[in-house]
Amino acid sequence: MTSHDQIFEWLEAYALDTLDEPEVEQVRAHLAECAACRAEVARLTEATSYLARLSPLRSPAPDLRGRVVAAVEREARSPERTARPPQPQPALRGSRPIVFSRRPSLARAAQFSLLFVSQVVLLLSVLILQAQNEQQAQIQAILLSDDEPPTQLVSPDATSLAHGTYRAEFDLRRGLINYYQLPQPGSGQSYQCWLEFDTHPAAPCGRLPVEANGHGLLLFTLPEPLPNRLRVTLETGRASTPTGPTLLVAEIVTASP
Amino acid sequence: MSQPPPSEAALRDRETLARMARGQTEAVADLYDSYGPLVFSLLFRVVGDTALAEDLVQEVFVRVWRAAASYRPELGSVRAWLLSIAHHRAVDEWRRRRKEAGWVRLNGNDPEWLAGANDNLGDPFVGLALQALPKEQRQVIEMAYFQGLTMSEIATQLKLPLGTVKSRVRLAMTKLRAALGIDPEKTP
Repeated sequence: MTSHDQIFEWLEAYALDTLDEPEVEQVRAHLAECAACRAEVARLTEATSYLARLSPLRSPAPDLRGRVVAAVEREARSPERTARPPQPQPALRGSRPIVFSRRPSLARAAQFSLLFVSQVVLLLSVLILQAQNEQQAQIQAILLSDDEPPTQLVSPDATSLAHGTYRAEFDLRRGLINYYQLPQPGSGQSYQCWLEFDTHPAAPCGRLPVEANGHGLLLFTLPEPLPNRLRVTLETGRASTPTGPTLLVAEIVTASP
Repeated sequence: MSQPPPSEAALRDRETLARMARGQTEAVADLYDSYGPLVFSLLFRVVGDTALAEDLVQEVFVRVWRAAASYRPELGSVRAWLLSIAHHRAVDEWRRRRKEAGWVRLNGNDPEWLAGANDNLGDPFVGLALQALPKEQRQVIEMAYFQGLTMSEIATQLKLPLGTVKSRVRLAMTKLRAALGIDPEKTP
């Protein structure tokens, strides 16, 4: 019998699907009886799921959604599935079933309306996806740009874990900050990015989206003249100037192309 | 330190899966809308074939449908759970085909190409975390996760002792999860 410690050392490889089959079987047998290892695998699976996001986003064929739903409906109707006792399907709070009129003309009109709305939604989804891909391409371009080495974003509070980097692509007038371990803002609060200049007042460069783990990225347009400093503050409500506490700051010493 | 509460998206995913567990097939479309393109992109990245990746997407969602009632939040987020099912299925299929055909990718043993994660950045945030790893650790992650190679196969290709590959995988994952803020002591 393989020991708990031995199995524990295999869990990273198990989460990456890189263990050989005999070891996979041993890990599975152990997981069935070890809650600590199951919890560790859950955390590792969370980490490996981020790797999936390294795959350049590709648009599947537009009809794949329909094929997926049809495959699941076939599965739901299959004998093994339908042999099971019917499961209760409580209505969702606030949801109402769509009921078409028994009058054919109204029913057809309702179906056409539904079709029209679904087409509009599909079109909007495609446009949003295109915009996301465009933004992702811009971010990649900055990350791979050799213009300047990244400037560190540091916290004035020595006890804070928040940190990050600032990068610029001067030709295209784009800047990018990536940041880590920002505390979640409170209700009604948000992190605001500011570009500061020696010669004139600070200009906002966007609100920082913060993921559950406190990380994120913000892409923004670089103004002319270039800023001397970048600051991230925690603001309550809308702010036209930086008034809240500073979480991160970067001195931009290479502010000329 | 306590785990932050689940995000709105995570709660929505759990509700979607609960609807699937109750037999509501339309919930599959919702899950697909959230993750279909990501699942497809991952499958394509591993198997490198559009038609096969699309077939696998269907299989993955059918598997998720079957397993929806067994999902528990302590298994991790729905997103991570779904992607692990997808990745496992892709690697499984890829290994089976490779075994049948006796075929290995032409660039599969080119360490420079394999370490070139910069060229393959999808999500820049994750890309930065991966970039921060030493080259040899990035290489084993790339070979394991995206090439679908076992550690024994990686050791053979890189002409390294198996123990070295194992410790690189462990070190890489430890650093990666730290960079992503998934600390060992936190519960998922």
